[in-house]
Formats: sequence, structure tokens, C-alpha cells
Amino acid sequence: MEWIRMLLCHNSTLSLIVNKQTPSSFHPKTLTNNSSMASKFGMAGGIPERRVRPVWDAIDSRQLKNALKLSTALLSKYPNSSYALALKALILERMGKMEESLSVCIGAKDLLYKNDSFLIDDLTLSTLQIVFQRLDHLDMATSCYEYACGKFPNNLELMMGLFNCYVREYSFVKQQQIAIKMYKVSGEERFLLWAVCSIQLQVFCGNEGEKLLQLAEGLLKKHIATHSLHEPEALSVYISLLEQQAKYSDASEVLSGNLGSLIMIEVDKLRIQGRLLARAGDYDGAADIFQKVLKLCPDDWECFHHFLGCLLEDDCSLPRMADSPSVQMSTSIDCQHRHLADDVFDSRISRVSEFVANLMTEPGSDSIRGPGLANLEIERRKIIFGKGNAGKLMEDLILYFSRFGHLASFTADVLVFLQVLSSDLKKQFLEKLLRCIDSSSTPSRHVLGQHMTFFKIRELIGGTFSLPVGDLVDFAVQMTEMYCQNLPLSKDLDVQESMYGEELLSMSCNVLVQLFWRTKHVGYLLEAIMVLELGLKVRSYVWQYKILLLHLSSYWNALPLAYEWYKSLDVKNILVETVSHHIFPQMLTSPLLADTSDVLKGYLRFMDDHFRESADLTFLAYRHRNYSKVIEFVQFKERLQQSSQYLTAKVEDSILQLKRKANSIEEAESALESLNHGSDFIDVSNEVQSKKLTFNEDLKLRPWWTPSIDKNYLLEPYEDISYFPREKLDVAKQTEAKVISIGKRSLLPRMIYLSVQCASSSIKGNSDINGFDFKDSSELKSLLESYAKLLGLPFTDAAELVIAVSNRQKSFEVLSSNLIDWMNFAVFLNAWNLNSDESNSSFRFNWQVLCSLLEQCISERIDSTKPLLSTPGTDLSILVQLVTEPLSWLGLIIQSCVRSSLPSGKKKKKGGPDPSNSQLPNAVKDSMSSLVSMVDKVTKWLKEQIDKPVGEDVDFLLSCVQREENDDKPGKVVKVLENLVSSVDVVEVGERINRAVRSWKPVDVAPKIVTAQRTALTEFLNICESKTKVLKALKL
Amino acid sequence: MEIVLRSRVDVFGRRFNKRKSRLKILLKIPITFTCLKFLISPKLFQPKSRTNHRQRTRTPEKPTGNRRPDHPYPPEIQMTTIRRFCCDDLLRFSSVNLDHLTETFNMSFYMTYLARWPDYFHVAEAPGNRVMGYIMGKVEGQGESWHGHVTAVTVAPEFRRQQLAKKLMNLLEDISDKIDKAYFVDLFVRASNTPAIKMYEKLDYVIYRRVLRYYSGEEDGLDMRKALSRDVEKKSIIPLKRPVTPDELEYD
Repeated sequence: MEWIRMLLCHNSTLSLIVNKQTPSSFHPKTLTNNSSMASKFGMAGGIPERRVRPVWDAIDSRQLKNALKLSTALLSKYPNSSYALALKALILERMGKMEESLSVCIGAKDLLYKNDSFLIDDLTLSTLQIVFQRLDHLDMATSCYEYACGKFPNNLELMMGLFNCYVREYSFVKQQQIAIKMYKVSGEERFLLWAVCSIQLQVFCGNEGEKLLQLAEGLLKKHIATHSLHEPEALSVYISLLEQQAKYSDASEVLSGNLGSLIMIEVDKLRIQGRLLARAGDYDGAADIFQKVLKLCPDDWECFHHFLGCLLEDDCSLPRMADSPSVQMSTSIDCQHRHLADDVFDSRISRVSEFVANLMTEPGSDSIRGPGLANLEIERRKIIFGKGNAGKLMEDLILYFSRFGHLASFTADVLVFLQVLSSDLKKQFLEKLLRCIDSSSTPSRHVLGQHMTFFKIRELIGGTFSLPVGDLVDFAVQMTEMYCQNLPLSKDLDVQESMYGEELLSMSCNVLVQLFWRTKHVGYLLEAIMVLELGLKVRSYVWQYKILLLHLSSYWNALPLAYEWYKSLDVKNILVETVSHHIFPQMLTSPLLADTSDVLKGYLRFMDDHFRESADLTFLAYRHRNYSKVIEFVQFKERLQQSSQYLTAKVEDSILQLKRKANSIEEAESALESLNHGSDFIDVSNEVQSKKLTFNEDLKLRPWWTPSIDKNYLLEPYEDISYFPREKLDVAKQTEAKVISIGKRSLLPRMIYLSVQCASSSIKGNSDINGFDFKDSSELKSLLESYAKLLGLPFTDAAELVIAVSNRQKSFEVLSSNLIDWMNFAVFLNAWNLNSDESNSSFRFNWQVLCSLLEQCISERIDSTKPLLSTPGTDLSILVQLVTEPLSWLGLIIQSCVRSSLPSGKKKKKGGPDPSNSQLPNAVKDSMSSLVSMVDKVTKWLKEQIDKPVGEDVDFLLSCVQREENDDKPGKVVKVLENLVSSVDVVEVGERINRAVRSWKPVDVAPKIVTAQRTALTEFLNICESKTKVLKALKL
Repeated sequence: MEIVLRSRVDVFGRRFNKRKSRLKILLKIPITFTCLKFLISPKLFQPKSRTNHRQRTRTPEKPTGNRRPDHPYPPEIQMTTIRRFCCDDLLRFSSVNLDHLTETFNMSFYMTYLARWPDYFHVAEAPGNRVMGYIMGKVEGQGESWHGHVTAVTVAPEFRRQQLAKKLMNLLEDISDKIDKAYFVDLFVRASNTPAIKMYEKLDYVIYRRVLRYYSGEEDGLDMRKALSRDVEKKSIIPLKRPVTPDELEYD
């Protein structure tokens, strides 16, 4: 009952909750105001508390039926109590009786308005608010508070409640107005800041121009003149407001004035000062300030960048805004500071060098990495300016390596410096590194770390692509051996702790995949998997291995296995937004419809839950006077709402529902109904084109061969690629592609709905055509036009193109880049055509043309699909999509025709031989037979794949890694692993590792892949067979 | 204007009666008892935080002045920038959170910490803006129990064994000590997690008491504390002679 007690308490703490999945979700999310009216003299909502308590207890113990009974009894005693009604509404909502709850809630609201003799208490309002919010009627909750505020003007608690309502609605203007009122009533600084934040939100998240910021500034200035400021956060807001208007010197002045004392910590103040000066263009002043900060925090790398940036007057490391994630600092060579005169450049560089040299000589500085790295950065900048010495940079790098080369982060730390070295120097650098390792006398752990760094750098520099295959094999063997040899170092580690040398196996896998790409020998791919699986036997928590395995399995068409690896990563909460890209795209085009639905639903649930609770969290920030977080939270919510992945998932989830229901027109129709007949998605399609999409996927963790969702090098011919540094994604291009793809997909549900309608009315006969049907037909036409446009052609050209392909006047090649979209287009085009009177001689699309097109397409796909096991990377997804999309939609259209052709009395008749359906045009009957034969063809192919003995496939795989002495086939790495298993010494590596290694068997790996492939194929087969069954059962 | 609370509020703002509701809360928020794990260093971890269950008895007075201490840590191995954690960092920390010992909480958990204790939530960034690790915590209690609490501290694999966790811990201790004038900092750790306990001991934490069956009603937890300068006599860390049950915890 705590939540109710909470409502009663005299406090003004925001009670926030709650993840809806948790059983505690009945707790109210609300602001409980300090309403003295609420529980005066043991009263709750105007009812003695002792009478309400049994209801609370029943709700709290989740005896909802009992609670409802008690609340009915309470109502009979207090028929005019809004609170009693609100409680009933709450109970009904908890029981899932949404409509009833809403009507009771509206009743309570009406009563509240009518009942002038009662005080409007906050408990009733909060309770109503909770229920309205949960019923998605925020507007009604708001109007309750608006009414109450109108009735009791100047009541701060009610006004705060109203403010909270506006926060929930993201009504920034109204927030501002009510906050100003509260400020006027109370004169409190915090309400003024609420108003200022609301103004900033109008500018950043609304449509207001920056001029409005002047108003906020004016308000603050006026307040400061009379009351000053008392909160550091308030000062931050004031400074940010000035910065946003580019009034940097004003901001600096504020900071150095009295208010500056609110920031008591010198170094923080200095950072802001430096930032303001730099933004104002006073680079000299800013450099002085940053130098001071560096004296206090010599390892602050970002600050060093600012220092250097200001001295060299470039704009690539301009200080960012406070509290925002760092902007990408200059990692490339595009920094522009060439406008500095030579002598100025020299003198400034020598100032930095001197300063860094001093830092290094300070006591205890030996372990400070900052200055060491700073020297490298100075040399790099000199090279960019044209005055550097690459040899010197290399020497410095070696020196730095000798001190910090064993650290796992070394490679990433120095990447930016390696980029400015020529390829010859890079090679020299590698040689020197090796010499450095050989000559070092550091402990074995350090030597191992240095070796790993060396391997990583070698991998990144990319020279390996031009090396002979034999060398690459040697690398893989060397790394795997090194892992095995160094197992004793991890002897005493807990199983949960990272082991020494774990990365060696990932790197060995990377080389093996490169070997596979180059030689197309499946054995290398199998070895890559084996290496990682052994690693996971030794320590099962290494997520890096799991990600690699996920991608290898999915590339090899063993998607169920990939999905298992994905699940083992335990991706949840916000990680679904950043990590699920590893599996998402493959799942969407797979036959694993149920699993895909789980992934989508889990993701959408997380996102939607966040959108629901985000406003409450924003209000929490208001309450705790952390104003900077207010803006941050709102912007973050927007960022997630505009996520391309989110929009894709929303659309794909609806399409997936239709795919799963396509075997029954009734089920499909009810799914369509729940999607508002697809109309909602038309809005998505329109909106997406005007929105700025965000891409929140963390692509850094993807394997080298698939650096982004749309890219997989292994599907392309082998070439000497350089993935160092990784290609930067062209966001504009990416957005454009995504907008088109989401736009296209979001038209599908509506087009399916309309096609089914058109098919139906075509059978009912032209005489049946009424205005509505005509509307459907013309809407479908307009959607087809939009769809065609997104495919890059005007409607008529698009229609002619598919006809030409169907007639074999053009090859399928012209459609290949968007094959599924084109086939969908053809299916809907035919449906529209059934009802259209626009057919003319140049436009002859009909069932026959459509079926011929689809048949050719299916045959072509089947003929070009190579065996999955021996040809990793075979694209099965097109075939899957052909069956689950265009063929499914066609099936629905045919079902619609058949249903409409049956006399109404017969529809429900079951069993018994039916005479043939004379109403159904022959063209439809022929199409149905054609559809059955297409699906049968796929079924036959699938059966051929599945019916092969498993053992045969396993043997084939294992034979790929069996090699004779001295031949150049894959298998050397497996040999290393086998040697480890046979020779591992319990004394050296400890009991745990010994047991784990011994339990590993190379033969276990192959059956997993074979089985997973078959599972996927079987799922596909089930889809096909169920389709055939449904189609054959149709009464023709 | 903060108002003293009558009943207890957890980090979600859920308030409940101390005696009656502990079990209920256990049932209601399964996540907190089953899966809170925190990596504390390359090899050490603090498995669970009881933070969600630790109750505030009053809203602390909001201190004025900047929260970040002047020189929060001695210069050590790290080369990094430590700044306040912000929402966008949630989209960048996957390499840290994929670790099996690092729990990824629901959004309201992170955002409640950000909204209420932004000075106790910091992220460390390496050159190239890579997230190295982060610490989250809070300040709570009343009277001589006014203390900082470490909820989570975690470091990405590539930055382990560089004492980053120590640096982040020192930062939180300094904020608790110098800015919020707390008496001590505490944290909870699984009794079986010897490496973590050893590391905390190196950081001057002592085992204040054992909490019986603290984790999911099975494993005992250790309440470890470090006294801050305000606790001149170090009273807050004098170990209790007998173990306590979860019901006896002051903040629960």
C-alpha cells in the first residue's frame, strides 16, 4: 500500500517508477504535491482514511477483485466522491478493463468539475493523473489540473502538478507560462530556472528561434540584479544561455564576477574559462588557461588537445560544450593551421614542447602517459604543418612503446600517429617494434602484452593483404601457439577475470577469415570458429569471441547458432539500441519468424517504455534542480525517437505480423485491423522524409570483414583492402538510403490491405463497385506511385519494367538490387489492375504476367543458390523473402478472391464435397496453381538440402581441416589446438584450465554448424509446406 | 527547498515502509537481487549493489559550490579525461557493459542517478573519445550515517590493469568527503569475492559487517566502509561484532 501512503504523505518528492514489466508497475508515477488538503485530519480525498485503507490494502496485495468490491461499497457510501471513483478506475485499469476504467475516470473528472462544494485535493488529482496516463489520455489529466489551478489560483502545489502535466506532454510553452506564474507567486529561483529551461527547450527541441533565448537571459539578469543566484547549476544554465547566443565575453565576465564563486573548484572554473575564451577566438588567453589546467591535471588528454589547438589556432579541437559527450577530436590529418606564419608556428610549438618537457621532469612523472603522448602529438602536428620529421615521430613511438607497449589500449592510443607515417615507415616501425620486444627484459606478462600490441599494429597497418598465404598461416599459428604457451600466466586467475592473451585468439580468427576470403577454402573458416570455441571453453565469458562467432555463423547460414551466440551476450536495456545490429538485419530476412518477432518485440518494448517514462525522469531533474539534465533528457528522448533502427523495427514488426498471419486471410485481416489497416505507417513514411534520422548503433565492435550493417567484404571478390582506419560512414548517404528503405517498407501494410480489398471487389463484380471501392483503388494507385518513386522510376515506367522482365525482354539483373521490393510492387500492381479501368494497350499487366514473373524469379534464385555448407555466404535470404513476402501477399489476394467468390451462405459451410467454384475467374485459379507450384519448387529444393545425411556433411567439414604433412591446406592451427589438448599440463595451467582444455574436441564444432543450417532450412520448409497446405485447401 | 521525507524512498523514488515492505520490494524488483554485478577492476569485481534497496531517510541538503574536487586524484598511470556522465554515453558504453559482470540497468535507474546525483556519475574517456569506464554512486543517510555509496564501477577490458577503478573510486570519495562532507563511503560486495575484497582493502576499505544472506537470500554480503575526514574518530568503520540480517540494515 506504499504507493497510496506515498500519495498521502506530506512531501514533495517525486515518486517515480516503474518499469512496466515489474510486478510493481501498479505503483503510481506521479508527483505527490505537498497538499495540505490531501490528508488533513486523517482524510483521504475527502473520505476518512480508515474507510479507504481496506481498498488500498487490497490493491497493494493485488487482490484486485476484492479491491473492486470494496471500492464499490465505498462508492455507495460516498457516491459524490471523485476520489472513490478515481480509485475504482485505477483498480479497473489494473484489471485490464481499459474502457471501463476510462469511463469511470471520466466520470470522476466530471464529478470533480461539478462538485463545487468539495475541495479539489491533490490526492484525487494525482490518482486521476495516474490512471489517465496509463490509459494514454494525458490531455484529460492535464485538463483536471488546469481546472484545479483555475479554481485555486496561486496554489503552488497544484501549479507544480500542472507543470508536471505539461512536462509529460512536452508542451514547452505552457511549461514556461506556468513556471513564470510560480516564480511570480513565490519568487523562488528554481521556478525561474524551470521557465528558462522551458525556453531553451522551445529553441532546441521545438520550432522557436534563438531570439527567445534573449527573453530567458533578460529574466535571469533581472533576477540576478535583485536576488543573485545560489545554485551552481543555475549559473551553468546562465552561462550556457550566453554561450548559445555567442555572447562569450559576457559569459566570461559573469564567471569572473561574484557569481563565479559558485564554482568553488578552480580547475573546473578554468576549464569553462578556457572554453569561453577559445570560442570567442581569444586563443592566446585560452591557451594560457588550458596550460594552467594541465599543470593541475597533467594526464588530461582532452585538455592538452585544447591547449595545442588554441596555440596552433586550428578549429578541429575547439572545446566542446560542458557536459556533452566529447566531439570527435582530431584523429585525421585534416587539421588546418597552415595559416600560421612559420616563425609563429615554431615559437608556439617550442612553447608546448618546453611545457611538456617540464611536466615530464616533475616528480613521479615516470608513470604519466599524458606528456609522453603529448610529444607524439606535437610531432604529428609538425608533420601535418610540413615541418615535422617522420623519423623522429617513429623514434618517439618506439620509446613510448618501450614504456607502455604492453598495455591493451596502446594500439588504439597511437593509431592517430601511425596514420601520418608513410607505408615504408610503417614497415620499418614494425621491424623496430620486434627488435624492441626482443631486447626488452621486462616480465613475461609485459612481453606478452608487447607481442599482442605488435600483432594488433601489424593487423591494422594492413600490409598483411599482400603477403603470401603461407605467411598468413604462420601468423595464425604463431598467435594461437602464443595463446597456448601463455596459459600458465592465467593459472591463478578467477574464471570471471580476463585472461592474459585472450585477444590472441580473436586476432588469429581475423587472419584465418582473411585466409578464407583469399583462398575460399572452407577449412580456414572452420579453423577460425574452432579457435574461438576453444577460447570459450577455457573462459566462457569472452564477449569478443561471441561477436565474432555470431558473424561467422550467420555468414555461414547457421542463423540459429548465430542467434544463440547473440542471446549469450545478454543484450538488454539500452544495449538493444547499440548492439542488436549484430543480429537484427539477418533476422529480418530469415525464416526464423518467431525468434525475429521476439527480438523485435523486446526492442520495441524497451524503447516504448523509455518514451513513456522519460518525461517523469525529466521532471525528476527539474525537482532536483539539475537543470542541465532537463535539456539532456529531452534531447536524448528525441534522439532515440528518431533512431533509424527504431523506425525500421516498428515497420518491420508490423510486416512480420502479416507474414506470420498470411496463411489465413481472417487472421491477416485482424492483424491489419490492429494496425489501423496500415494507415499509421503511411504517416511514418511521410514523416521519415522530413526527419533527421539518428544512427545509434555502436559499429566499433563489428568484425573487420563487416564494418557496417550493409557491408561484408567476404561477399565480394578478394582485394587488398585497408581497413585502417575504418571507412567513415557517410551519414548523409546512409540517411538517404534509410529514408528510402523505411519509406518503402512502411507503405507495405496499407498496400496489402488495399490489395485484398481490391481483389475482393473485383470478384464481386463491377456492379458492386461503389464509392468506397473506388477510393481504395485510387489510394492503392497513389501508393503504388509513391512506391515506384522510391524505387527510382515513375509509376508507368516501373510497371513497364516489370512487364518487360516478365516477358524476358529484360533480364532480372535490372531488378536485382531491390528484387523483393519489385516483386511486391508487381503483386500489388496486379491487385490494383483487377479493379482498374485504366488498362490500355501499352499496359497489360495481369495474373499471367505476374505469375510468370514470380516463377522466373523463384527458378532463377533456386538455380543460383549454391550448397550452403561448401559455399559460405550463400544468400538464402532472397528466397526466404520471396516466399514470405510477395508470394504470401499473392496468397492473401487469392484467398480474398476465393472468399468473395463463394456465395455468402457457403462461407461457413464445413466439410463435404463442394462443387467447383464457378464464380472464380480461371485466371485466379491458374494463378493459384502457379503459386502452389512455385512453393512446391522451393519445398523440393529445401528437401534435397535437408535430406542429405548429417554425417556426410560433418565428414565433409572435418575433411577440410585434415591435411598431410607439408601440404598447404588448412589445418595447421587445428593441429596447434590438438597439441594443446594432448599436452596440457595440470601443474602449469591449473586444474580449471586443464579441465576446460581437455574437454574441447575439434569434432564437436562441425555438427553444430550443420545442425543449425538444417534448423533454419527446416523452419523455411515448414513455412512453405504450410502455405501449400492452405492453398490446396482453398475451394476453387 | 527540500522536504524531509517521512517514509523511505529508493532510487526509483519508490517509497515503502521499512519493516513491512522489504520482502515486497524484493518481489517487486527482481532485477536488483538477481543480477546486479559490477566489475571493479580488471580482475576484481563488486558483484551487487544494494543501492536500490538502500533507503534514504531524508533528502540531503543540496550542497552549494562545484562538486568536483580540485585535484581529485594523484597523477598515476592513467591518461584520460574524467567528466560527468551524460545520456549520450549510454549509447557509447557497450564495450564496457557487454562484460558479464557489468549489469546494464533499465533506463530509469541510470536516469534517476543522473537526475539526482549527477556529481556521483562520472565517465573516463581515453584518447579518441573511447569510453574507458565509469562510476555511479550517490550520497544518502542522516546524521552520522550521511555517507557516499558506490553503486557501480566498471572498466572496459582494454583499459584494465591500469588502476582506473581506483582513480574513479578516489574521485567519488573526494566528492563525498570534500563537497558533501559525508562521514564515510560504503559499498557491498559478495563475501566469496575475495579478489574484490582484497582490492577494496588496498583502497583502505574495511569490512564493517557481514550481512547474512544478502544476495538473493543466499550468499552473504559484506558491507565495506572507508571513513572520511569528517569522521575524525573513525567511528563509522569500527567493525560490528556480529553479523546482521538484511532487515537490520539502517537504510533498508
